[in-house]
Amino acid sequence: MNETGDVPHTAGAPEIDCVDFLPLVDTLLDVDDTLWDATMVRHLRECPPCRVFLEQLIDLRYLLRSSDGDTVDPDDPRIAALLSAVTTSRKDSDTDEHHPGRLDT
Amino acid sequence: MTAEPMSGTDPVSDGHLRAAWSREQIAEWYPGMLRFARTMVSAEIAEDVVQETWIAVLGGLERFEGRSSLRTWVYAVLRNKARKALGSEVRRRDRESESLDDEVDPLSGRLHPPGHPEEGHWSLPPSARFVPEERAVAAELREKVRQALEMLPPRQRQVVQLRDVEGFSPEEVCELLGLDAGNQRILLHRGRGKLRAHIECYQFGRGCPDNESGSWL
Repeated sequence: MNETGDVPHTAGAPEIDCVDFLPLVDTLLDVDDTLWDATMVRHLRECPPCRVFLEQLIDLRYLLRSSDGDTVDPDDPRIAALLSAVTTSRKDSDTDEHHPGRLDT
Repeated sequence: MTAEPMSGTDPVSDGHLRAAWSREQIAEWYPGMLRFARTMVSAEIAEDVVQETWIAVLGGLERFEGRSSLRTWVYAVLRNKARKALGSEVRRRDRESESLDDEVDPLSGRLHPPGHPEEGHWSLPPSARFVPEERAVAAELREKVRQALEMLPPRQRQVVQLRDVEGFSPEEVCELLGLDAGNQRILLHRGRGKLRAHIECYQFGRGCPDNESGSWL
C-alpha cells in the first residue's frame, strides 16, 4: 500500500507467513513503497500485526532521525578554531617547500 | 538527519571544493560526525577527532578523487583519525565480529511454535505504533531512543547510527565499516530489532524480556 491508499498489483503473489516476512521487513524501509515486493505487500494486507510491526520500525527510524537535536551554530568557536588552524597550516606550508603536508586519510 | 550539502560524486577541482565549504556547511555536518566519532572513541576524544578530521579535510581536499561521495570520504577520514586516536584497541574491536549466533532474539516466544495450529503467525502481536499520526512526539521518547542506541553492541550501533540517523546507503556503510552486504544487513536487522523491542517494552510494557535487567539492551 502507499500513502494514498492504493494497493500495488498483488494478484498471483505467493503467500508467506509472519516467520517468512519478519526477516525481510528491513528491505521495505530501504525503498519507496511503490517498489515494495508484491509478496510482502500481500502479507501486509492480510496481516495487521505485521503491519503494526513495520509501522513501529518506521516510527523508530523517525525517532532516530529526529533525535539529533544537537546542532552546531556556524559561529561556533569550534568551527572558528578549525578554520583558523587550516589557515595557519596553509601559511606554514606555503613558506616551507619541504613540508610534505601528509594527510592521514 | 543531515543532508549532503554538495555533490561529491563529480570530479571537482580542489579550488572549487575548498571554496564550496562554508561555515554553515561545516556546521551542518559537524554533529553527525561527532555522533559517529562517539561510536568509536570516548566523548572527550571524539571532539578532538572531529577537529583533526576537518583540519585534514580542509587542508587536503586534493586527495578526494570522487570515487565515493564527498560525505563518505569525509567520514572515512574521520574513521581513520578515530582509529589512530585509539590505536590497537579500536582495531581489535573492528576485527571482532559481532557475535551473531548467541544473541537472544527479541521476537522469540512471540510467534506460535512449529506444530501449533497457527504456526508461523503471531502469538503476542506488536502493540501499536510508537508515534501518533500528528507526530507530536514527546521529547522523553526521543531521549529514550537515543539512550537505547548508545546501549547497542558497538557494531550494531555503528550500522544503525549511519543508516538510520545519518542516512547513509547500505553500500556506503559497508565501505566505511569494512562490512560485506550480508553482515551489514544482519547487524542492521539485529540493532533495529532490539531498539524496537526496547521501546515497545518501555512504552507499552509488552514483550519485555524475562531477565534481571528487564532490558533487551
